[in-house]
Amino acid sequence: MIRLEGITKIYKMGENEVRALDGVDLHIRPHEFVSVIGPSGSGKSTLMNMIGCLDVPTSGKYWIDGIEGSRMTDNQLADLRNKKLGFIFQQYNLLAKLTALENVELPLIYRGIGAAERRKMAVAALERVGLKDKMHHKPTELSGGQQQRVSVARALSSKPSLILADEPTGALDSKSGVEIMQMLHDLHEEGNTIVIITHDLGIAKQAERIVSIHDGKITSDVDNRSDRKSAENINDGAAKADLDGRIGGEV
Amino acid sequence: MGKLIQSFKMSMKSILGNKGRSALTMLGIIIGVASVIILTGIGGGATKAISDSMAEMGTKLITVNMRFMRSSTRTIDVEDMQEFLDENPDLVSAMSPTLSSSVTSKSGNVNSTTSLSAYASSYSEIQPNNAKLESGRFISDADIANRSYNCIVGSYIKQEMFGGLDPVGETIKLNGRKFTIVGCYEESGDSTETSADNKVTIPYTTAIRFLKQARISTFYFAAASEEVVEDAVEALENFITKKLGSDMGFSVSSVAEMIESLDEMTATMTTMLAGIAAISLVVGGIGIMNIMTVTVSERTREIGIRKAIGARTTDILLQFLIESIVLSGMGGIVGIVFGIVACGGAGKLLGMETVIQTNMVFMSFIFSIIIGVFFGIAPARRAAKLHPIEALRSE
Repeated sequence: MIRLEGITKIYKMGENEVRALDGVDLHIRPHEFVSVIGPSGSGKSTLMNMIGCLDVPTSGKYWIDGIEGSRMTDNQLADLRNKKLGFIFQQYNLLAKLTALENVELPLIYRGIGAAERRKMAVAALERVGLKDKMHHKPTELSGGQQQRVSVARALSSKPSLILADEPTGALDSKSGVEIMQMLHDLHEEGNTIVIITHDLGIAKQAERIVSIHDGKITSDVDNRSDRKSAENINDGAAKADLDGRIGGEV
Repeated sequence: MGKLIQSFKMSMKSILGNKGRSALTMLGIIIGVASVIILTGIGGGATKAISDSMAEMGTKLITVNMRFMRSSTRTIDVEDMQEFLDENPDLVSAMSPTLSSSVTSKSGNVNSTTSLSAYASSYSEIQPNNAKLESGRFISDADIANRSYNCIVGSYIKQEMFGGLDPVGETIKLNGRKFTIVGCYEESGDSTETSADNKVTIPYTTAIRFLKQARISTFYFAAASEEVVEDAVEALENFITKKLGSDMGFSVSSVAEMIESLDEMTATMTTMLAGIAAISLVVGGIGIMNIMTVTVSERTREIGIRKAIGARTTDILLQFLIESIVLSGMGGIVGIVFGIVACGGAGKLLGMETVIQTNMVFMSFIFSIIIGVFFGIAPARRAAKLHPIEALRSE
């Protein structure tokens, strides 16, 4: 499904070079539910941008469904994002002037799907997240949890190979957060491949596989199903300290 | 196509979502388009007024002017012109030799310097508008044949020398020679000494002797119809060239020709006015560019979202370009409506007729669209080139 080989990304900040990713190898197989965890500055956002085809690496290669994306033009990357990926962002990132339905339709418009079919697909996606009755509402008329469900519907509408969620519960109250996570679990059950980027160990632990990243390097890659214990004992100094400090008793 | 419709819908949403700002942005284009329409409308009205007044002189009028040169031995006389008239009944219907001068007129104790013109009786057919009489008669064939000392006077002479009473049957002295008044013209100016009403007309045969003019230099013809004016002018030119053995020393002109060249002149003027008004259109375009640049900055995050979910560079470019075109196009339409209404108002205010120039309406609309493209392309390109990650990060 997704393979990263020796991905390195270097940002130039003035005279300094920042090595955001340093030789990352990662393979995400179909129907997996993977969480990527790391503290801020660990390079997990950069990793998400790479997986999400929002950026190209300085060196290294990556493939999505066997298509090599590391040397693509902007337009080719746009098409790849449109067809293969569904994004769920922390801040929902819905367009405020469009209704829920129009927001969900947006990726289908860019794919060039005709109005009638587009509408049918969008309504189906909204029905899937239980918001069919609110499809003509604007984002500001919806609660945070409902907005995030609209963005899940938007990610689903184009039937992507991979759903990429960046801190999907970060801006939600705990009840809505649970709902969204349940929705992602359901989608996983239905056979979708899901990658969650988070700094929240409680969220990360819900995945089948937990990838820890620190200082641009993958420090652990644990199968959460076969060995729940090892997940409990992610032993990565700075990352763990950071995580413990943030989540404390909630875990 | 679907994407275009979608982009159009999006731009309408964005324009209507910011009504006040959109209206202010459009104002520049509205004023520009309206001023093009108003100025060309007034220009068109002025052209029409001048053409109409010239047409009143008779669009069938043809004037032959002879310039006698020392070297030329042959000349054109009344008989030659009569010959042309007789030979070309399908081209010309009437001919009148013309002499003009200035004379001292005197009746009782009133003296004046009066402009004198001399015609044949057929002049009233050629220029009926200039031969309208209030009383009496025009020059007759008998007057021409007898070289009689009869005259027709203007309303100034009636007012000043005959106390406003009908002067027909009275006498007047022109350069000391006594003439009998047989007719009186209708008032054409304001009957003052310097107006066109201080005039007197005598038979041309009398004038040749009276003014001691051996040769007649001007002939008026009436074309048989408006359609044959050009043919008649050409035939006259050929006829005179043959008679003189040279195409020098004379000119044949028609009122229709003059109107044509006048139209050309005023058209140039109208275009110039439109050009000046177009400058304000360009200024309006800069306003659009300004607001589009602001819009792109404000909507950086939206652009990022669109790019993340798969919008190509061209999709974003089109969206903002269409927004700019819709803005300028709407400004153009409002400007056209406003311009047409204001043009009528301006006409009433100036007390003149205005003529809306349809081609200018069309052109100013096209021009406002072009402005939308021209000034929208830079901000749209800036939006399209934004990096999705940078754009998503912005607030």
